[in-house]
Amino acid sequence: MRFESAELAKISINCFLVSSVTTANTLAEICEHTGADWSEIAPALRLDRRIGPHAYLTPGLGIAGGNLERDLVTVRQLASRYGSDAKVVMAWQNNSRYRSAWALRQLHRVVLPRCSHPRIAVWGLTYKAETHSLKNSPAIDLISALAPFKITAFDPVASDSSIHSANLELAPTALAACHKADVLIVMTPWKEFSQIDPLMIQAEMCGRVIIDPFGIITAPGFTHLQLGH
Amino acid sequence: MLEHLQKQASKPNRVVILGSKGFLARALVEHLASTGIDSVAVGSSEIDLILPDSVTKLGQLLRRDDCLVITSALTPDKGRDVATLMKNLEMARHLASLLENQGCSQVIYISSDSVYSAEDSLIRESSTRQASDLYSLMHIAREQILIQATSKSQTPLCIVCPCAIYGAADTHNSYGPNRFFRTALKDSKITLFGNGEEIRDHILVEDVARLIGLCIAHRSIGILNAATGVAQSFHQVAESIAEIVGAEVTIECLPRSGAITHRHFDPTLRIKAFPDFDLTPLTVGLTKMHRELTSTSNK
Repeated sequence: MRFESAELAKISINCFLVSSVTTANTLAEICEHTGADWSEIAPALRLDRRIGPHAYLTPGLGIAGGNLERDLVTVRQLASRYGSDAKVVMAWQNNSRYRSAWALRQLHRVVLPRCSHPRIAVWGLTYKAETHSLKNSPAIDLISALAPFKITAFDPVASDSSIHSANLELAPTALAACHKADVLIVMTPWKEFSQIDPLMIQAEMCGRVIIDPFGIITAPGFTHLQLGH
Repeated sequence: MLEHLQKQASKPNRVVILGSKGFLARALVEHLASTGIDSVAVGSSEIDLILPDSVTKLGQLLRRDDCLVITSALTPDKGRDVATLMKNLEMARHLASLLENQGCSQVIYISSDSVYSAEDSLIRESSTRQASDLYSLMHIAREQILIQATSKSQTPLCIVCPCAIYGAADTHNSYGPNRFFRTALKDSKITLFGNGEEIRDHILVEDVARLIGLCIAHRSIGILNAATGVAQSFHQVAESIAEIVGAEVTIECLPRSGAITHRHFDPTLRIKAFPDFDLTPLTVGLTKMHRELTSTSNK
């Protein structure tokens, strides 16, 4: 493979991943409004060999981390230099920015009209599970967009020193973050969150709303908001 | 797209509002007064922006530390023709010739959601501006004229694009809550085109005034859509109004002439810019509007 092809192959893989995620995000949002359930649709797509069993079909909170964004910027620069139509790349970037604020919009739609100064619990601060990285993390964006409100957060690995926000207090455990909270927002799908007893969450919280984009918690008795549902 | 030059809200020394007779201008004057902010509303009888002498007159009035809010425009009910377009642009030309040389604390231009393409399923501040008629072309052109003029004098500019505004004091008889209430109260009837399937975002005039007040308090620069992010069909709006008015209001459907179009707004930028701003839900706003309309007619 020539040098140019090798460079572009790496970028092409990332573009295809982004296009899959963006398509999944767009259709998952339509599911949220129509009563369809994306988790029922995605398996059918995986059976189609043109899409495949390992396709990126899990809806998320936009592109984070930095590498994918970097490659999208590169494609736009190349398209601009050589006169190729790259509007679809701009659309992916716009969709990513839009999806990253999904939890914020849910909070304003469901919680704030009923509770003007809620205590907010946030689980997960890193941009994805199994990483220390907070780069382009939707959780950090969320916290900065909620400056007037008191937030208590827990993350299994992110440390005190890496996060600076006047409205944020870090809790020692996930359950401690929920103490007297009106709403719980799960921003990173750490596996350990799914192992926490929902009854204990219920006992800690005052409110009954969980914004759980990735559907990591099973929470009977709560208004449970999840991407694609 | 929206940046606060003042992170902490503070009162401006004075707000000069151009367009004193307008529905929104009056609500803004009331809101500013209620928050203890000194304002002066200037109508076309005092300074007619279409005339060249408006540059001198406004120059004499405007102080360096004033916030200038521009609501003046000939709306489509005054004409949709080229002559109306040129008058509106003439106003912008005169404002620009002043603002290029004489800056102030902040300029807020009240534009319109008509600047956005009708084909966009979800409108946000970064959406492409695309003229669909001379009225939307006028706002797009005025925005650019003011961007250029204020950049010369380094005056912060904030462009506010409201979606469909409703409120009891609206004098326009445009399709939507204003007309629906009037016909419901007068004839016990609301007339829809088709089944009123078109989905729109409606915002209470007082909420727009409060949002402008926040842009003033933070000396915000950029673009802000004044929209709720919750869109409803005209049929749903008509049903809400019929229920509020009561007295056997009927909803009548007439054949539609055009295609069905919908308009939704992404409220993300607004809720990030003003996280604790509480919007009035549509049914609450419509109930308030009804109360004001009926108390006015009873006087």
